[in-house]
Amino acid sequence: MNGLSGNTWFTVAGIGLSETLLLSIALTGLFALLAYVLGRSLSASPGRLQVVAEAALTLMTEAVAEVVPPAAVPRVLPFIATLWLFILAANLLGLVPGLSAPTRDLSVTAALAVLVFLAVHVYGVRAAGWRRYLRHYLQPSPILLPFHLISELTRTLALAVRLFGNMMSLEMAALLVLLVAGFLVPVPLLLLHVIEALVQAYIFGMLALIYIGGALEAASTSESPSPKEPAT
Amino acid sequence: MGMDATTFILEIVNFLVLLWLMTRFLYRPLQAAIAKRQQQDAEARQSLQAARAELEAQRAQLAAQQADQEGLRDAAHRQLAVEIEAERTRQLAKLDVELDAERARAEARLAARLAQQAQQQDVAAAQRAQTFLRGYLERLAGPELEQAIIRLFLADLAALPEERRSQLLGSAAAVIEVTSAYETAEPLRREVETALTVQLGTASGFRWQQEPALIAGLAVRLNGHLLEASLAKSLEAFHTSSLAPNQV
Repeated sequence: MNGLSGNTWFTVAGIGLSETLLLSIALTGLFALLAYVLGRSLSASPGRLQVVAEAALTLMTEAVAEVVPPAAVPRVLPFIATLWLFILAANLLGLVPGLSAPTRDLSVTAALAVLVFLAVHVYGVRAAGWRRYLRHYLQPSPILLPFHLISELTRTLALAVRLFGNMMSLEMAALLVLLVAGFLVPVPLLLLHVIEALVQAYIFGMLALIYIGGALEAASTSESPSPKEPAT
Repeated sequence: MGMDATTFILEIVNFLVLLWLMTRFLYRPLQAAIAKRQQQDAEARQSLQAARAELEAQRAQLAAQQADQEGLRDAAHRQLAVEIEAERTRQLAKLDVELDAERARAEARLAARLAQQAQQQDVAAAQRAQTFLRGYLERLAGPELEQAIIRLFLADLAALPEERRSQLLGSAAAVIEVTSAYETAEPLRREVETALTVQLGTASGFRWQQEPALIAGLAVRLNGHLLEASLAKSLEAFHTSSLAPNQV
């Protein structure tokens, strides 16, 4: 790890492939393999892995259904579920000795935040159309349009920086404790890392879900305000 | 802190690829499996509900059949009670008739037994009376009493009606036997023989003899006739009359 950005492990055609990018691609491959294997082994009498996968998918479906309208759940669920799974796996990857969490790279968290930013507008426009969706930026008064735009930018920036800052600081703290203290002292910190990984993944996904839900809500009723962003 | 544009762009691409892969290979198959299981569960639940409804219908049908059976049973019980009551009444009437007949027979048997007892008592009383009279008359009997009886005999003989006298005519045997309980005095014998001769029309001879069984009195034997005036004959007549049924 070089500074706060990932190390460049390979260079292909003059393009440097960083550690975080390669780990992200590895995670994608791992998820794809797991999904393929699980998808091929689905049966009417599920095994343990299928039961866990179905339980996780059911939980995520219920969480999404609590925020967005029921009709939008099938469209929103894949994006939010993938966000949760990817960020959780990426956060936990920092526990593997010799590897660092991809989410401690601002480029990764910024890419995820931009994806959320784009997804919010894509879902909003698909639900209500351009005119109706853009009109909600003028509600309740056109004077508030700059504030709406600033809000869109700042919350996207907050998403990226929050996840990046939490994971980076956590790993830095763990590294410092490991350097200063003995062998067993960092163990509680590693447990905290697990909790933090879960919480940050949940927060990022829930915030994305709330933003999308706000866009869908604004599309359906341009009068109603967007849901408030929960404090973290 | 720095941003790597390559990493940034490729991360977006990587996530989009991951999103497509997960949707294609995990979410859709998993949702399809869940939906299929939910559909199977719904079908099974619907089948169970149908089976339950069918069972409920069968139970209701069975309950109705049971109610019908109970109604039939009650009706049969009522019919049986009516028949039992009718049979009981008939048997009681029959028993009453039999009891009346048996009572009548018993009363008849009792009356017969009472009549028999009364007759036996009468016979016994007559026998006792006869025994008493015989004993008493035997003690009273004697030549004087016999003589008085013979006098009564002669008076009765003289007072015989004509029809009776005509029957006696010609019935005299060659020797007329005259039996007495005691020795009869000669004059009285002649009076008897004379009276008999007068009544019979003819008399060739008389043979006198004694018979203590007469107690007192005499008996005259003719052809087909017996003229007797004795206490024994009187006792026999008393006995016969006492045993004869009462005549109103």
